[in-house]
Amino acid sequence: MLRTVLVVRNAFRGILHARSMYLWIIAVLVVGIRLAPQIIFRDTQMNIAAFGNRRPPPTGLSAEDLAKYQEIQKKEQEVQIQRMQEAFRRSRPGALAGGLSTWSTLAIFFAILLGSYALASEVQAKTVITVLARPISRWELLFGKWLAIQIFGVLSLIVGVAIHVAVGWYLSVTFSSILWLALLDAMVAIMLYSALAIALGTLMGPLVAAGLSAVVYLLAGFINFIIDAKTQWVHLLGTVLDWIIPPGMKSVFAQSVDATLALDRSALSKTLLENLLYCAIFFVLACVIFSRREVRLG
Amino acid sequence: MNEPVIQIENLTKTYRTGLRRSQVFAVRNISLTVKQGSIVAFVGPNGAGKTTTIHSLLGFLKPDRGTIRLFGQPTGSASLRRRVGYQCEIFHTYPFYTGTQALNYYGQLSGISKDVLARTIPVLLDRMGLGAAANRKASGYSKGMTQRLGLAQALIHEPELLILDEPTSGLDPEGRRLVLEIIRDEKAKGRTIFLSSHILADVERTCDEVVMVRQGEVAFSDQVSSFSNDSQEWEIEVTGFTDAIREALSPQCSVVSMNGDSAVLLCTSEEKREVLKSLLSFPLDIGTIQRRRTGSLEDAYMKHVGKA
Repeated sequence: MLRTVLVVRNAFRGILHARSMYLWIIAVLVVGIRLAPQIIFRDTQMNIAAFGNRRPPPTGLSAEDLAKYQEIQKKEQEVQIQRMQEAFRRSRPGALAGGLSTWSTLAIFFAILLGSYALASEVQAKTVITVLARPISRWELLFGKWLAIQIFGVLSLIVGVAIHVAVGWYLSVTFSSILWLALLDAMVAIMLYSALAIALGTLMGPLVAAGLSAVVYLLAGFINFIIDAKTQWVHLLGTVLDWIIPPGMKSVFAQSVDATLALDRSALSKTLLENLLYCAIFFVLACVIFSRREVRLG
Repeated sequence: MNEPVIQIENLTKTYRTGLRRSQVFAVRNISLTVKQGSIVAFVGPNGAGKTTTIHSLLGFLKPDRGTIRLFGQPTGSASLRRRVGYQCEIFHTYPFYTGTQALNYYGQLSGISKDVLARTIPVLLDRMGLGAAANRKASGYSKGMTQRLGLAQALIHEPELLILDEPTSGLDPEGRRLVLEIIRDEKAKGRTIFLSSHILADVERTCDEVVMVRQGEVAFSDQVSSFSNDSQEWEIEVTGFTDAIREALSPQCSVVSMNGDSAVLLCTSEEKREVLKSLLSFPLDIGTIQRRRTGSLEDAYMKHVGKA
């Protein structure tokens, strides 16, 4: 236990030393692009003129009719502005939920990156042999590294939530308690994909491991399309992939800002359990592979 | 006292390289025994299989054939590694640790308590000549300092067996001397030491036994004490040597080699004094005077391992 704690501390210092917090700057920029219009135009009147020229008044109107016509047009424009502002306001929760979802996806990719380099960085730096010459099991080393990635994952989510809650306060959008479920979903996905990246990292180079893990993450969103295919072999492929590939993140951030959206709690619970099971399988595989493989420094 | 600490029998390890995955022997049928309390040197040129053997000993590599036993048990268990201290050829540590923090990490991983480490680390760093740099980041250490830190981490948990891969590599003469002194001190404490080295002078000065490897096979092994430098013949180097002087000295000594007016003369211990007196009477310069090296470790190396 103590050795695992030592490895966690060491690995987390390594993550910080590798300037991994700069990844959060990238995440802020990506999410910022999505949220910027809502923040910048929160109190700004929409300029309807920007959406097209006003119809010219019909010819032959008297001065009195022309004035009435212009009055009607002005009122129509005000209604349009109000509608647009309402629509813009209504899109705020969606933008915030989308921002948090994007942030969580990026946190998963960061975990994949750190997981795939967890072992490779030690081998490349040749620090691994001095550690493995000590009375430490290889699974303890991997587990410590995996836990360090989870700490970074939790911190990433905390930073993301803090930013989005602050923006939500500015835009008068509140999050419901479903946010906790959404964050749990994201955290389990981080656990899962970092375990997968570590497992692949024990078998192959870090870049290939990161790429494959990302493909597995992205494939999860397409499996239903593949299963629904009418061609039999594609359908079969989808069924096989459905067994191999974990369900991944459900992303229920939208439900945390919009009470009208239904949340299927049983489906979410099933996904979480499946993800945890896959996570355990990948981690055990990583330990088995790493325990059996040779440590060559090249 | 003379229980075998390391027993290697018929160790064979191959690698597969290239597109055709052709088999290359890194070590072939290596057998050796290291007894408790001895210092055994593993000597050979680059690529001879020294590091492969050491890495197999530590369980990093899996032998294709043969058996390895440490303290009478098969390698690989965590409890065995507690009894072993290992310094790799070029020590690498985490750049964000200071010397003290690095030793703390390795010490705690070996199961040493924080309190004990708080007492032992400053002493050990001082012993390694790193006391002043204890709180400096290891990334700022020179190569010699890093190597000495590597030796410190191998000693931090007071292991029974020290495995040192080129412990004096990259050290200046002062650092080399310090490390050799530490190795001798550790032997005096009863530790068993298995080290690989290229530097035969270090081996002669510190080791009890030598095992020479060439192309993955044991080429020669013997006690270092059998390579004695206590020759009864002396070599005297002179410049300004002429045929007339040669003729005059011929009853007392012989000429081993001659290059221009430089020559190396050979005489016995009894004749040495008279030869030197005679030489002083001639207009020549006397250079080095040393015992003739016969049957040295270097000769054995050149005979069994060297290209000659």
